[in-house]
Amino acid sequence: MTNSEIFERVCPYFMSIGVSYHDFWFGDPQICKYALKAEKIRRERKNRDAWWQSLYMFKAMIDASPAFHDFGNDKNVELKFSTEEPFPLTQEDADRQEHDRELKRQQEIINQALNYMAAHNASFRAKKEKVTHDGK
Amino acid sequence: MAITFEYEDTKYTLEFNRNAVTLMEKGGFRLDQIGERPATLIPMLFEGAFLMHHRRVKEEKVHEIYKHVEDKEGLIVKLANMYQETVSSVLEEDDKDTKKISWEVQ
Repeated sequence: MTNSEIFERVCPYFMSIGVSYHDFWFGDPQICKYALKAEKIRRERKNRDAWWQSLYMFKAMIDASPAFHDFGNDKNVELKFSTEEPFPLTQEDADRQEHDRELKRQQEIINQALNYMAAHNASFRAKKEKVTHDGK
Repeated sequence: MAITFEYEDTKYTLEFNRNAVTLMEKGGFRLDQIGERPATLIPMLFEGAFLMHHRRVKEEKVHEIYKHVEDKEGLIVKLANMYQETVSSVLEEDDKDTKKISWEVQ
């Protein structure tokens, strides 16, 4: 495929994301590079907006749920929103989310270890003080 | 990215747009064949760089300018890069699939 054929093929796509016909063919070639970046930002914003809407919907359903007692037998059922962040649109986004989740998991493990050590030290200090006190 | 110079009191800007690339290809230009047919394609590349801003400049004038250019090799390499950038600017960057080569100074 020649470059001309590639241009012919992608021109409608660029026009659909806001690049004018004149800019595509006669303007600075870099316009398309920035149009692609702008489109990526637009897609991400749209995805985030959809995610926010789903949160509002979920909250509305929770608020309305007391009207439907069949599921909970009059007890409060603890519901959790399973999608903590917007669905990734690209492999790059998916990798970044996985990386962030891994960091969060590691931080939780570190926090648990620190809490355990602090509790252990406190108990050890208390025992030591008791021995010192009893020894007097 | 553009190359600018002055010749006989006229300022020239050499640059490519997609229309110029298309016209050059219709005229038979192929960047990937520049090593095989340099005598034909290098002058075409230089002429093509005038299409965006100086379409009315005559071919003889372009050849005359080319004769006076110093560091012709450097200019052609730069023009070839600019031509290639015009093409690659419509393609989405995807660094993820690109294998990175590490290097070191010894």
